[in-house]
Amino acid sequence: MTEANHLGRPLTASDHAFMANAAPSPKSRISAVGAALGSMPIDISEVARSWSSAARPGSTTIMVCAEDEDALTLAWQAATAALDAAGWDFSSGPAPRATSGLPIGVWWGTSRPPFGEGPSHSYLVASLGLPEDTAGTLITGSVHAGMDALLAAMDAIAAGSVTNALVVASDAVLPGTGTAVERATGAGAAAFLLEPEAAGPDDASSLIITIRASRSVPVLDRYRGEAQPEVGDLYDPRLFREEVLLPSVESMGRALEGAHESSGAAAIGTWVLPDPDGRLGAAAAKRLGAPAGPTRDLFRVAGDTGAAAALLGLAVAIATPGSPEATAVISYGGGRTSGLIVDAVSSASVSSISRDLPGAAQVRSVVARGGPDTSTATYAEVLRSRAQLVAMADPVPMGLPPASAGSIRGTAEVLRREGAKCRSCGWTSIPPTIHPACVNCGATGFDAVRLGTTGVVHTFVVNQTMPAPFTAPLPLVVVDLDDGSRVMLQGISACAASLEIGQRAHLVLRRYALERGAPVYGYKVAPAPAPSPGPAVTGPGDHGSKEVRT
Amino acid sequence: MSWSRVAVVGGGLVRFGELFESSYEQMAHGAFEAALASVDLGLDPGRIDAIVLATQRGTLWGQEGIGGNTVPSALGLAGTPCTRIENACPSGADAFRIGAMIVASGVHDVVLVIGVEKMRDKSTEEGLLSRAAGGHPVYTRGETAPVLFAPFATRHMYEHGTTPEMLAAVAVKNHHNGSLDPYAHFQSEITAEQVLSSPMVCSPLRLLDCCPQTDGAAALVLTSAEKASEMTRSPVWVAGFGMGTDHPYLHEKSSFTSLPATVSAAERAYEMAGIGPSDIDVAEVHDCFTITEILDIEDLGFFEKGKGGRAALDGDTAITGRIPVNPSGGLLAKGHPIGATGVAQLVECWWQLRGEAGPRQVAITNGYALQHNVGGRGSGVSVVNILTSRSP
Repeated sequence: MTEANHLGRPLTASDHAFMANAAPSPKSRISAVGAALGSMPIDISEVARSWSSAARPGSTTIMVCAEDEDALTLAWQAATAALDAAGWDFSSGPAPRATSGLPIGVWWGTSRPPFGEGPSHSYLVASLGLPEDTAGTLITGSVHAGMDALLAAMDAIAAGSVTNALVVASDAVLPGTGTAVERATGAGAAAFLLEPEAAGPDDASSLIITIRASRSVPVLDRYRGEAQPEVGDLYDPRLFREEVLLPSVESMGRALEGAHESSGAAAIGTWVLPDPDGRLGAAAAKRLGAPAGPTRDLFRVAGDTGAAAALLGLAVAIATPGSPEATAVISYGGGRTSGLIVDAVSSASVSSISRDLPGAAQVRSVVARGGPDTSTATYAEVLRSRAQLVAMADPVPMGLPPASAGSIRGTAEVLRREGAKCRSCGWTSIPPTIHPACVNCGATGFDAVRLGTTGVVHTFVVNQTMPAPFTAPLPLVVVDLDDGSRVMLQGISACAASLEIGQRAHLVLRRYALERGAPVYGYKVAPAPAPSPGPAVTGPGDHGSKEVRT
Repeated sequence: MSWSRVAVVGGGLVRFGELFESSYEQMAHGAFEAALASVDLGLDPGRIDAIVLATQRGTLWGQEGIGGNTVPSALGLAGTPCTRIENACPSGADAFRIGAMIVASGVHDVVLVIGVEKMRDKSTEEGLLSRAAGGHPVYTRGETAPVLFAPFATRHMYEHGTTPEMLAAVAVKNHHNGSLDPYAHFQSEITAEQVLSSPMVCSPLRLLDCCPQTDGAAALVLTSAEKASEMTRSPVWVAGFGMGTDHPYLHEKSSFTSLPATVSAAERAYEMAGIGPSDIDVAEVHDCFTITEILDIEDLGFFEKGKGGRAALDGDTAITGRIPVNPSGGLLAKGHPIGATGVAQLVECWWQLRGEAGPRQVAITNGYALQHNVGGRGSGVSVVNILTSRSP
């Protein structure tokens, strides 16, 4: 009898030769990191009860998207955190300044781009204030897309086509109602800033992606057809577990280990493994003889974040103080399995990791949120936020059609947070297209500025009477930004009860509406985030509960 | 400034309310007939040289895009020149101002100013939403009418200690006045407790802090000083008018405790009339929300900035108070059929100056009545008209 692999194909010599390879050179150094989770906590056992299904023991609270969040707003949040941590200063205008060198590219992986066909990538680039010649691409098609984005960015760095690569993995999977997927699906994002290995500072250790591997088999497991908006359950979960996921992860893990060992590096200390249901991750870890802690802990906070899961896990792993020198991450989706290893490499003069990775504190604070003590949304609220529960009402056409010239003009200046600063009096008129003359003095000479995102509440209202498509409570907030300008924008609904004049606030990208099928984006006002917690006191190997990290 | 004096010789309106039984044209005709009937010595409609029409929300009525031919044939005046004014909440007040300028110019002798608004042929939700996504695709999204004024209430409370009870006092007073006005949409009294326990609409404004959506029409007849004596023994005169504008977006406001459009409109009207706020006997001001009346009576100079709420609570603006404000019931009780609102306020001023306001009559000592509207995006449009019973 011929030896066959798990899917029945006879094994060939190349199967036995499968191994991971050294990452292309120059290798990529991770210079900053950021993360985001959906802002709506749900109790997945309540979702189970709503369908008269037994809640799984140990089920808990995970974070999903509020109705004004999606894969773009999560991507913006994580990417903004990474860019801020890296010290990129865009305040002088729409083009970045003080980067360690252009050109730049954005590689964005998500299974749920905001437009099935449309300007998803260019919206993200504009909202981050990046220049119009930004390179990169949107990668989608499966939950492997986040890992693909990272691999593609590494290739671009190695090829020398960019010197700064922003990798963003975000996802907001829309699960079918009543499915098991629904009880596991969270929403989140991770962002990494990559640069060529040599660009790192000499006096500190560096996180270098050293090993990579990919493998591809034509297996149909989780899928969504062209006309299908929602993800449904696997046809046969046992088949997926025994014949697809576990063997794929195991063989990838072995390949990574082999390559890492032969390079003479330290043993892999942390494994970040695929965990689409909260159990497969632990099973995969067991096969590899690896600790299940990091994978399990992330699922308990974030659920399955689809295309963001692998990179979010990596972000958390490398943001954990005292993390081991080698971290392996494996992603699976759509028949593709990829893995890579991040090594903490010290220069000769430094004997250990001497500084916190920029953005690490932000990542820790993101995953420290949520948990069982957070008050959770009702299932009806969750359904409404996913537009799976819709009021029966005649739609009232709202505003300009989204693809009209007026909307295109307005959208660009909103995404980029453009203002026109008067050369005569210094007043910032917002937005520029409706202000050919200065609001304050009437002069017409302007400098383009990019509005800041922090300020103080000057006044506000909370609108309680909003017929569909709006939902109440809808705060509208006037904010005096720290850069001296003033804006009036919607507030996120979660801040409705706690707004006060004088409180610190910041602007976040949110989806204002779905209009004639197109998402409409703008910034909303949110309470200023609490200061990031400092490095935790836990040591290596302690991947304990969230409570320890707070 | 040199301008020929303009007389108001007739005025009338239909009862305001949800007039589901009346068409736009029927309301217009009703107001026109009432105004004609009020001309003491009679007026042959054929003497009307021109019509200035105020209708703000053609979109609600389904007749947007129609111009001056909207009303003449409904009034039996087909062929008469008619200009339609659409200028936000001051549309009616601006139609009057334009009508007065036409007469003052000497081009026309008799001008009919008419305001007509059909708000309730569409649902209240659609009326509310009709402005929630206009303008910039993002910056004004969600800006329903209460959002134009509620941030001022929040800030006025913060800076000046204005309280919900003070806001409620405005509603209680105006509903009391409305109970005395047979033309008002609401003609019953309310209590402060009712205001303060009514549903929150747009914090800090509750349901009874807000005016209703109302159908209505009102009309006035203007003529020159020479012709006035042929029509009436007790003319009322246009003493002055003014208009002001301000930036259209709320984030462009330098202050959230005052409306600059009102301030400049009032300054211009007082200057033209040669008087000041203390000369005014009675004022019909724009109280689309309770906070708006408080802003108005400060911005019009009746009370110091920050003292308007206290004045309302103390009864200074009651019919018997120091400066009676909105004896007709105001927008809060009488209603706010936008194009008709300003014209109807001027009808009330005309009645007050002629001593014809019945149980709502205020004491007329100086012979001046002031009418005011403010509105539009960012509350950036305001008109003030001042009438007088003093002969020129």
